[in-house]
Amino acid sequence: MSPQWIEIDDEVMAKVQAKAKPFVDSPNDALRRLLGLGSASEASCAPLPTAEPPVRSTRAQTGELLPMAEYLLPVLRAVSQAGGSAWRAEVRDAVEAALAGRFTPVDRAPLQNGQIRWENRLGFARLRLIERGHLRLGSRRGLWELTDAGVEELGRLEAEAQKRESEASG
Amino acid sequence: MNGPEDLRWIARDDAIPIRTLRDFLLQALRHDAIADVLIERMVSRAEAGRLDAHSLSVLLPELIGDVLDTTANEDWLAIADALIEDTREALLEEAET
Repeated sequence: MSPQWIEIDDEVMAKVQAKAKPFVDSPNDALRRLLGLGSASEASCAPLPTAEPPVRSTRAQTGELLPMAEYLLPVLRAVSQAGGSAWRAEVRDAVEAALAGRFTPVDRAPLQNGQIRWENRLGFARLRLIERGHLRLGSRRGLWELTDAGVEELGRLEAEAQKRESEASG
Repeated sequence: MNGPEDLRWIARDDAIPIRTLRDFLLQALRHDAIADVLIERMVSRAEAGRLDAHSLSVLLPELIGDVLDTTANEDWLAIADALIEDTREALLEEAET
């Protein structure tokens, strides 16, 4: 039988080590002893898994992306303007229009799976807004719903944005 | 790049390139009917320290299957109506031009 490669957790590894004869046993020998099996007649350990070529990371560097915080106001605004609930595609269009001039080339580039990076990040923005209680974890797929806390947050973010604009212009 | 052998066979004389097949699946998973749930499940697994390809590969077909399982005959009829209408118009346009 050809050897197989398995993964074990730290607790199991500690037990195996405790039952192993130092410098004599392989992990397989120790496991065989624990399981009440006789000694193995052939090679007792599988070779290490063949190293796969490293997957090229497409992780963006710091400063290459529009910060996630910048997505929150356009998302909340889009849902609010749609009457408190909006379809994902409506939110996506509104966010794209709002942030069109601010997306970086990296935001606009596709990920390895082909999806445009900012569209992927939009999904994470929704999740963060749900975690903060500003959007509802809805029962209808693709429908994003504002909560009362989200309405309050939208007011706060709008006020902040207006303040920044007036400071910038004045 | 995939070679000519990288195919999945639908019938004896009908094959789909694996690259096309995977693109189809990715597009389905990115659709609004699935995208939010997929992110929720992936982040949940990542936070629990158990985001790995093997377990995710079991979840992905379930996500697509769940959506397909909700379809009723009326959905396919509605789609068929739309496709027939578009095809009729395309054939008329083709004849006129």
